[in-house]
This record gives sequence, structure tokens and C-alpha cells, in this order.
Amino acid sequence: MDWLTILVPFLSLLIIIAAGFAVYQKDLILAIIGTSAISVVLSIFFYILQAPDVALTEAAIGVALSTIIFVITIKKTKRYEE
Amino acid sequence: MSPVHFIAIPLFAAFLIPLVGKVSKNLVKLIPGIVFLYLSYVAITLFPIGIHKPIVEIIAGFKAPFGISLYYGPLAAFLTTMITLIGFVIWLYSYKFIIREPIEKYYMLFMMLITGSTGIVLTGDVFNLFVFLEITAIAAYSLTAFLRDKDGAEAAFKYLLIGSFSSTFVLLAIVLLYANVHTLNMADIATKISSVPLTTRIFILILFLMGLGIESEMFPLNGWAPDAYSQAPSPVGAVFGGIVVKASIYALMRLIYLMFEFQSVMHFLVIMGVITMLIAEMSAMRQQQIKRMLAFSSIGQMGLVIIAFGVGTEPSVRAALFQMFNHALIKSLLFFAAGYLVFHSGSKKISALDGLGHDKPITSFFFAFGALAIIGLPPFSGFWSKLYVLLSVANSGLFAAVALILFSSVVEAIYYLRVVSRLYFNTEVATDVRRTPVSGLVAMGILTLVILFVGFYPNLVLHWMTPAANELLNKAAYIKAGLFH
Amino acid sequence: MRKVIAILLLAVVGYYILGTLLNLPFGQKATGVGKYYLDSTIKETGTVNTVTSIVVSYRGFDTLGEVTVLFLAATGLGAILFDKKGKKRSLQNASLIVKTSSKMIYPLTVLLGAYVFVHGHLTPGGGFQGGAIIATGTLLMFMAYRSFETNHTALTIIESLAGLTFVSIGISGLIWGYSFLQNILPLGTPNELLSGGIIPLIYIAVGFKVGAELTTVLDTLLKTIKG
Repeated sequence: MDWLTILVPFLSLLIIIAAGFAVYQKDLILAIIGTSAISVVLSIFFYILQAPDVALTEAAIGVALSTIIFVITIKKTKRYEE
Repeated sequence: MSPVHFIAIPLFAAFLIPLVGKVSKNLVKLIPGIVFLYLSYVAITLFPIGIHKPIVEIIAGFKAPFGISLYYGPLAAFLTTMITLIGFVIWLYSYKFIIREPIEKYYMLFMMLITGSTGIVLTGDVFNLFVFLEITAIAAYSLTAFLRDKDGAEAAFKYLLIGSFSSTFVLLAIVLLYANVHTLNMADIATKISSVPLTTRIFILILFLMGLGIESEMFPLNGWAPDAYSQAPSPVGAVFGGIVVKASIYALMRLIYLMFEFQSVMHFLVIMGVITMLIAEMSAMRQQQIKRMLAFSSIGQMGLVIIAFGVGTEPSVRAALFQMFNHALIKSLLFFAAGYLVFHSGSKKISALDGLGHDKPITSFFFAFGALAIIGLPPFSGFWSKLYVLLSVANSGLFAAVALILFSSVVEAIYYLRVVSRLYFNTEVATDVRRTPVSGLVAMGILTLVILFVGFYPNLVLHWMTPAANELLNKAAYIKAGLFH
Repeated sequence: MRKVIAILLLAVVGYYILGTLLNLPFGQKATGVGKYYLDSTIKETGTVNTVTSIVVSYRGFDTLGEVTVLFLAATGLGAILFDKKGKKRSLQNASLIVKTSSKMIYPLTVLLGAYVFVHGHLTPGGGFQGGAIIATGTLLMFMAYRSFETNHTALTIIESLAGLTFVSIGISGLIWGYSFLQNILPLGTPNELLSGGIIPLIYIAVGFKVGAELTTVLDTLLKTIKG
């Protein structure tokens, strides 16, 4: 069977695992890394759905810039939840 | 001379301001004034043309529905002229009022706030509406936190969170709408909307109501408004209450009247308007700070406008537009006067205003004038607009709504006259040797003269509002002009 | 108890959202406006990348609005975090591996970003993506070296000039008697670098603007961290 039918469920599973990881972590830095992992997998997804412009935008902005802004915010507030 | 000047020229000036700011700071303060003067000239030139026959301007040379088009009909002509003239007066007031440091950034954000509202009013395309809503919202969040104190930051954060929900809901509604009708032009959607299944149509309508209702301060969605109005600098509060909320209500009503004309939505709007008005007026009576009181009063008046739009007949839409026009003028005057009263007395509380009427007679006179006008006493313009709203609501048989409007007018009279009596009839608590700057007094004077003029000759303004009201109600004419100009 | 009511309400809302979304025609041939764009993009705009022609040419007004939104966000950030005495960044220098490799990667990243926004009308990409890539490269240098400074005045001038270029290209359409933002330069042959009329010029201006803006935002944010 072609590799697309293996790849799409596998990537969806990765997104769900990363999202669950981001929600249940108490250390906020690790939660942000989880969010940026979601952005990476989402960017691959967009490429599979034949939208390379959106994949490039998501990779450039969601992975690097969004993460750094959150990390700066966590540095100025608290790092561990409750 | 075409409607796109309203958007292109302020954008050009906004990108120019940082460059000019490197050369000279005083020149930066004059740029918005020049822009607004030029735009007033454009508005007055285009106004007679737009009233008779709608100007449809295509952008980028691709005809609608494949490109974006601006629809400058009678309603847009009326609203754009109002926004530009009030924007000029607010610039005049803030010329000497704003003294905190990043001044060129303030003027740029201020100009973009007004341009965003003009864009909402002018556009004929649903996604363009979303882009201009974003421009208005981002400028509003930044200006709310402009004074950089703790309360301002909290108010801006609240506004930011709730406003992000608003943008998300509107974007989701636009995405669902496009996926179903495959076009983004408002006139084209109006022709194709009947092919969409009913549940989907209701769901899209609910998303639009929530998204645009947050910006137009309908009942449960206006928690951000009192904080934002009172913590922003006073001219920015005047822009919020006088311009931004009017543009949002226009957008909501245009979408409802054009695409989602269900009878139950109209009933829902009337009920929501009544609840908004009652809760806002009764909350205003309990406020201790003057700008929060003005914010709640503004929400209540917008509830009145929503009731009038909800009734849906031609006299009531005309009355709603007249009330929007009067409220913009009077609320700006009240915010201007309150700004200087707070500045002279040094504190935001009403109890600090005791006896200021003897020390600063002119500013207190303007506040008292505005208070009497907004309650609706006879020779002022507020009387005529409230009278027309009451008459049109009564003509549709909603007598309960009439009774509740009259009740909330009494409540309004109580809390405004309370402040006025504290100004004039209490003994002095504080005196201040600083005088109110001339530009502020001139701005307040211009508004007073216009309110008095409209109060004595209301039919002059009402004459222009009949074609505007007709345009909102007449779907077929809009579609014909929008698609086949 | 409140959790149960919340879950029930969310189930009702979710059922209606699902019902709406399941009726959408995903994955079928484009109809309506989309079909027109796919059919006539080469003839009317001369670019082979349909996404670029939609973003810049058919809906160029929305792109102007979005560029303004980014400009407003950066200005608002500068207004709220305004600080008269400029501070230095107070992070530590990174390790030797990061310092050496970021010196090598930075010019290549800027080159990649410039490639993406210059060729926006031929390959996937465009102004926003190219600008974001340039800003990410500069971020790497910020994090590696404590003393890497960018000249705020130069960045502000670049940003304003790029924005003015975009609006001027639009207004020049008005001056020549056509509509705002109309394609007034000759379209050329598709698939060449100099094709598409004003589209490459607009995307180059947008690329410069976004790159300068995001760099300023990152610099302002990084300078607010103390110790």
C-alpha cells in the first residue's frame, strides 16, 4: 500500500501526542517545546496537502518566532505551573 | 477624487511618520491634522455624488466578484463624513493633551484607528471587512495601554483577550461562508446565500453575532468596555465611543440585513438591546469614577441604537442612524470635558470634582452642556433623536420596550445631573492654577456649536439620512449596484 | 457538577460544528471564484504561482491591510515597552559550537530569505516567508553573541521606506488613470524572473519590511530581560 496511508495517521498520532504533552506538563518551557513540535508536524501536513506556501509560512513563523516570544514571556513570569 | 483616497492617503502618512519623526518631533504632530483636513475635503466633495447614485470603486482593476470593490453609497457617504469630521476634532483636542513620551507612535496608532473604522464602513467585501476589523482592533489594544500604568495594562490585556476571540469567531464565520458559496463579495453572497442549508446559515449567523457583538458591546460581551474606555487616554476614549463602536454596529447590521434576514434575529436584537441598555444604565448609576460612568452610559446608548435597528422599519433605521450621529458628537464632547476635569482635579473620582465649576467655568460648562444634551432635553439634538427612536418603536407596537427606554432615560438623568450639581453647587475642594489649553477649548466649542445647530434644525440632517436608511433596507438595489455597476 | 454541564454544552456545540463541517465539499474541483483564479492567472497576471497572484494582485488590498496590521503590532509593542535609556541585552554568550556555527549559518540564512522573497512569483514563498526567515537568522545571532547589535535607526528607515514603496506603487496606479494597485508594468513572459508586472516589486518591498519589523520586535523584547 502506498506510503501516504501510513504517513498521515502516523503524523496525526504525533500531533495528538505532542498536544497532550504540552497540556499535561508542569514545566512551561517543555510545554512550549511541545507546541513548536506541533508546528513542525503541521508544516509537514500542509506540504502533504499540496500547499507549499502555507507549509513554508508555518515553518518560519510557528516554529521559531512564536516559540521565542513565549520563552521570553515565561522568563519574565514564572516557569512552573502552580 | 475617489473613495480609495480615504484609505490610501492615511496609510501613506502612517508609513511616513517614523521618517519624519527622525527629523523633527513637532512636524509629526501636524501630519494627522493635514491628512484629516484633506479627507474632510474629499468627503464633502464626494458626499453629494454618493447620496444620489452609489459609487462603486474597483481596486486592482478586476471587476467584482473577482476583485475587491468599495461601495460608497448614501450610508457609507454619511458615515464616512461623520467619522472624518469627528476625527479631525479629536486630533485638535489631542494636539496639546498628549504629553507622554512616544508621541509619534501615538499619532500613528490614532490615525490608523480612524482609518480602520473608515475601511469597515466603505468596504464591499467580507474578507476586507475582517482585515479592517483587525487594523482597528490592534490599534485599539495598543492605545489602551498607552499610559503604561498598571490599570492600563490590565484593561488592555482584558481587551486583547476578548478581542482575539472576536477576530477568531469572525474569521471562522468567513471561512465557513466562503466554503459554502465560493465567493467573498457581499453582493454576490447575498444572491447565493439561499442555496446554503439552513443549519449552516444559522451557525454562521451565530458566529458573526458573537464576533461583531463583542466589538459593538452587546450585553454579555461587553465586559472589556468600561475598563478600556476609562484607562485609555481621553481622546482615545472619545474615538472608541464615538467611532469604533459605530463602525462595528454598522458591519453587524449590514451583514444581518443583507444576508441573514430572519424575523427571529430582529426580535433577538430588540431583546438584547433592551437588556444591554437596562444593565448599562443601572451600572452607571453606581460608578464612582467619571470615565467609567461615561463608558457605561455609552454602552447604554448603543443598546438604544441596537433596539432601533432591531425593529427594522424605515423610520426606525433612520432614527437609529440619527441617534448614532448625535451620540458620536455628544459623547466626544463629554469625554473631552471629562479629560480636562480629571487633569485639573488630579484624580479620576467624581468626589474630586466638587466645586470645580467655579474654578474652571468653561470646561464645566461644556460638560454640563453635554450632559443635558445626552439626557434628551429640548433644544439640544439628543432630544430629537431619542424622540424619533421612541416614536418608531411605539409604532411597531413594542410598548414594553418604550416603557423601559423611558425608565432608563430617567436613570440617566439622575446620574448625570448628580455630577453637574457636584460641579456647581458644592464647595471647592481643589484649585488648579493650570489653564485648559486653547486647542482643547476650540475642539469642545466646535462640537457644541454643531450640537446646537442640529438641535435647532434637525430636519436638515434627517433629510440626508432617508436615502441612507433606504439603502440599508433595500437588498435588491445594493446587489444591482454592487455587481453590475 | 459544573464540569458536567460544560462538557454537555461543548458536546452540543461540537455536534453542530461537525454537522456544518461534514457538509463542506472538501477535495473537489474548485468552483466559483476559485475556478476563475486558477484558469486566468497566467493570462491576466503573468505569474505561475497562483497563490502569489491571488495574494498580491487579485486581493492586493488585503495584503496592504495585513502589512499595516504587522506594522501596527510592532509600533504598539515599541510604544508599550518604550524605554528612553537603551539597555544592552543581558543574556550570556552561548557555547563555542553555537558561536562558530551561527557565524557561518547567518549569511546563508539571509541569502535563503532573500531568494524566497525575490522569487515569490515563481516558486512557493513570498514576502512574508522570506522576511520571517531573515528574522530567524538574526535571532540566531542575537542568542549566540551578547554584543551583536543592530542599528535601530537603519531598521526603522528601511521599514518606512518599504511601506512607502508599497503604497506608492498603488497610488501610481491611481495617478496613471487606472484603479488603485492595478498592474501597470508590462507582464512579460511567464516563468522568467522579470515577469508579472508590479508583483515582484511589491513582494520585495514586503520582504524587506517584514524582515526589518520582526528584527526590531525581537530586539525590543530581548532587551527587556533583566539578568
